[in-house]
Amino acid sequence: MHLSEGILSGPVLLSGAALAAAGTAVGLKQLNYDKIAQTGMLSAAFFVASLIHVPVGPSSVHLILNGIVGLMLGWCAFPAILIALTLQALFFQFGGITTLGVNTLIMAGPAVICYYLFAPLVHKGNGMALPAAFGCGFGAVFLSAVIMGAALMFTEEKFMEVTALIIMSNLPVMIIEGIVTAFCIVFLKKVKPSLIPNPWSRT
Amino acid sequence: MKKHIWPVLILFLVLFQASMAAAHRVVVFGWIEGDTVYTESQYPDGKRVKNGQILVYDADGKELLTGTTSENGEFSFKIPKSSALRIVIQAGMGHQGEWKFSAQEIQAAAGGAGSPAQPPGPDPVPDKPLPATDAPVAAPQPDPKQLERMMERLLDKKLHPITRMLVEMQQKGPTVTDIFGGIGYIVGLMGMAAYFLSKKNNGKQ
Repeated sequence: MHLSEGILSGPVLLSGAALAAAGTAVGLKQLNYDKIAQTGMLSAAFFVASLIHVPVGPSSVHLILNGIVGLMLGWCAFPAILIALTLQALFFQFGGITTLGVNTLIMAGPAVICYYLFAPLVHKGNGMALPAAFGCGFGAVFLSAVIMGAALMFTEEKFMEVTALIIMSNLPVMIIEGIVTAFCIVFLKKVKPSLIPNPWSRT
Repeated sequence: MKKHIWPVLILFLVLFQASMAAAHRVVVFGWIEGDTVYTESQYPDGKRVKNGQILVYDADGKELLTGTTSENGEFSFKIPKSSALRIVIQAGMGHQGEWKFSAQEIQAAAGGAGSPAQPPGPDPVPDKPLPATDAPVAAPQPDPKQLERMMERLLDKKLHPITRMLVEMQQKGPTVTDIFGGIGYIVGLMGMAAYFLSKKNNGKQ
């Protein structure tokens, strides 16, 4: 899910960076004193998640956790993911500094979208929470793959093929993420439901 | 609920056995032996890049040659031009890595293998038999140039496994220090954010 340096053209990098900056600004504006600890924790979780390799047959995939980050942080997912990606680029050379904006958009954009789509469902009934959380984890990675395909479209010019390829190869991640998100959210909803914000109930 | 999910998870894990690596980084390493450039492409967890595309560019960004990596992620080619080289590996889905050789490195290698003017020259040792060889009287005095070439070839051969070992040592994944360092940074930033927000709150009150 991390785009390397030197693949994307300047305009794609710039527009990605601009959108990521806008998202981060919204996120920072919403970041209040109570949310800082949560944002930091989830940023750290996201930072480490990429190192957790799940063996899938001959190859391995790694967790992304952007669904759960989005569900628990809303717009604050942007700064959280931006910081984690910066550190990943610096320490592990995943992605790169020039692709930071695009990569942030790829992972934080779907996080926010899924937050608006699935957080209300998680708050509805107990029966809905588990499938909604699964959908959130699954959908976030799916949307990431679509955005990544769109970013690559300008260099590879075959949007459908590239996107289908990315989605196919990330299917195991989507399922694993869905399951991880479902367990975490159902647990948190029982133990401390206030940790999961609801986009429509707040003022 | 848990009882139902684990079989499903295992089923999916089996189903998607053939899916591709979704690594986050791809690295290519190159080294020169004689007049040949060897490259090896890997993901950070040590998996080789199969059928990745290798592109070789010169200093001006002109594409010199392309190739596909083998099962072991290897690809080798004769030095095409005596200038700086940039080797790019494209593993698809936005994964790309590169390795650079400076002009000096290439020229040194080309100079050692043949004349610097024509780097991809043929095997240097079976050159024209030098006068020293057809004069049996002067046999104990070998031509120093020929000797040097022979030594170079021999050393290349002997050093090959060591070069490989060094290449393999270079491609380590993130270390524990990196991971804890990163977490430390996040905690530090968290503290800073909390500090500034608390100052702001104090100012309001």
